[in-house]
Amino acid sequence: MKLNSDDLWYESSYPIESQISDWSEECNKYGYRTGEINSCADIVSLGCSMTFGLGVEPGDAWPDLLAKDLDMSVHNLAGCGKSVMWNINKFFSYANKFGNPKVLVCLFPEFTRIEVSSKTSHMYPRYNHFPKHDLKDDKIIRYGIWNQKNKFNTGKGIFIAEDTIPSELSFDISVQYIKMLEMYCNTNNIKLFWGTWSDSESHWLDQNIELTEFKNYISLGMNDWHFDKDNGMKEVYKKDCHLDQSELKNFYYSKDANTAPTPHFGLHRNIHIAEDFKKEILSWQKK
Amino acid sequence: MAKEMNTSIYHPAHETSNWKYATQGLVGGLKGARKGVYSNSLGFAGPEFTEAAEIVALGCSYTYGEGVPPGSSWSDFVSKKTNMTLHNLGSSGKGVPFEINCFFEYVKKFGNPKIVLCLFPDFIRMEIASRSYQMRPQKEYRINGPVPTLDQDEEVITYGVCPQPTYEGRPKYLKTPVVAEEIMPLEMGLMLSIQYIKMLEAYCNTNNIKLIWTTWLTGQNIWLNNNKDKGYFRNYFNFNETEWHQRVEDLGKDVLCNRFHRKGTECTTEFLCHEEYREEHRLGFDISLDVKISRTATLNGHSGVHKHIHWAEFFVKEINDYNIGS
Repeated sequence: MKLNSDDLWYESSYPIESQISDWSEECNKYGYRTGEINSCADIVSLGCSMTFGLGVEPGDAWPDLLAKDLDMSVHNLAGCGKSVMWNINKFFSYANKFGNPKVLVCLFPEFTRIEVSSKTSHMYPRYNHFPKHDLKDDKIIRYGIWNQKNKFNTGKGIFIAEDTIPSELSFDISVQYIKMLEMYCNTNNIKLFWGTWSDSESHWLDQNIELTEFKNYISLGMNDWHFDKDNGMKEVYKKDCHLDQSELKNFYYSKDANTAPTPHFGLHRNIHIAEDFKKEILSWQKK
Repeated sequence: MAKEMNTSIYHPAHETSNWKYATQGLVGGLKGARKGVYSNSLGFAGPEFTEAAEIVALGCSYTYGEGVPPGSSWSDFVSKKTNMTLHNLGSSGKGVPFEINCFFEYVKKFGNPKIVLCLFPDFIRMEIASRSYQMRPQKEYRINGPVPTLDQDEEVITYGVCPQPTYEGRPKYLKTPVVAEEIMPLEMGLMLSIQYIKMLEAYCNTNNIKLIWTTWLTGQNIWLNNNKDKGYFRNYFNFNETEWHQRVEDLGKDVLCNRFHRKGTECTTEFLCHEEYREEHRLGFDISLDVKISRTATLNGHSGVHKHIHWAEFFVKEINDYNIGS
């Protein structure tokens, strides 16, 4: 195997500067929906589009609300569509360049997402943004896949990554990455709190956390929410609350409630997530 | 006959068994090492682990000590030369992700060592989890645990693979169970190895652990050494693999030479050293105990004691001169 691909080595180290975003007008120069990153912030947040805040206006995503409430600085490193693996790699690049934050808060997506590198003549993703000549030129490309089902349909290559990379592998790797992140944070005096919005993962973790060695997981009560299909995908919580803010933009209906099959979280849920993390941080600060 | 595909929505998080193996660590974590004749109850060379050692060694079969008698691997020599306690986490056939995962499991259980030394294998090796009737390794002995039959369709298996090093001759059709080595992209193993090493570096450098790592794969070493200034890694140190060759004419003797020859056949200048070990190890000094030469004169095997002594001296020197990024 040839190891002389600079791009592969560079990209595999997930440099903090190379985030690509379709929402670049709302992002900083590195591609994150947060202020410019010149030095380490008090809080760093990780996650996918739910943490990026695709359902709300800039400044209304839960990491922004959390930082405002606690009067602390924040860098939101979330990337839309990204996996646990991508996020944790980005965090290590950030820590390597700017130092360790005091607090790390993560709202992870489902664990079956994974980043893949492959030669285009062998494998590429089903949904891809690569220019056609790149795919023809037998290049090495790196991409994320949402690997929810195992399909393994028989058929002729070039192989589709989503059909061939086992979802057990991506699940396994996500768990390993979180374990390593916990060890890094717990030995570096970084207060880590992580949860997930994914029903499957949070349901299992809420009931079986004692079977795992995770020390920094928190339950975010995602099962208390649902989208009301008969009411234009209104986001409904188990009880009425925060009524004084209910007139604010995107409170009940996220920005993409009319367009996305499963909308992102609106302002109300972002407020709850921020409050849950805030509660944990304050209780840690008291100790 | 492979069973019909089950196309129902499946998510690993639904299954407690998936969580169990995932939280145990890659391919069983510390319990996943392949047991050898001289291994402890966990499968690693040397005595039982009861508390953290001063040094931890990571690597594959070279580090485990395949090809040399017990007590004569590079990590044993490092321990003797530094007079420090050492635990050898080398495990035959395993990839970088497994080795680093084992290190984290070890630290969780026993605490941080002062020094971590790594002799990594090729970066394309990786560990995989899959449902057994959909994807399996080429060699079933690589499966961690019992090998399920094809009608046990929901069995999840974990195993290590060394993907075929090129794409030539790989199949163009998927037929289940697919062979992991034929399907998994080489670049994926490489990407994972790089990321795991970066996380190991981050952990060690912020925990005051001296980390020194290199690799025995010549091409990898050359590339890493030539690109040191690009700053991909901080704790890589160059062991000059290009000086070493296994010479077919001498039954696979490890030859220390002054310049690189792909097959060692053109070595004219051979450096002789460490002769004091020759009598004790006899043939095993120059030649690995497991070396085999095929009819096509291809060598297959590990290295003799002589090369292990050089690896050990390299690590001891770097421990003494330790300065990351040097």
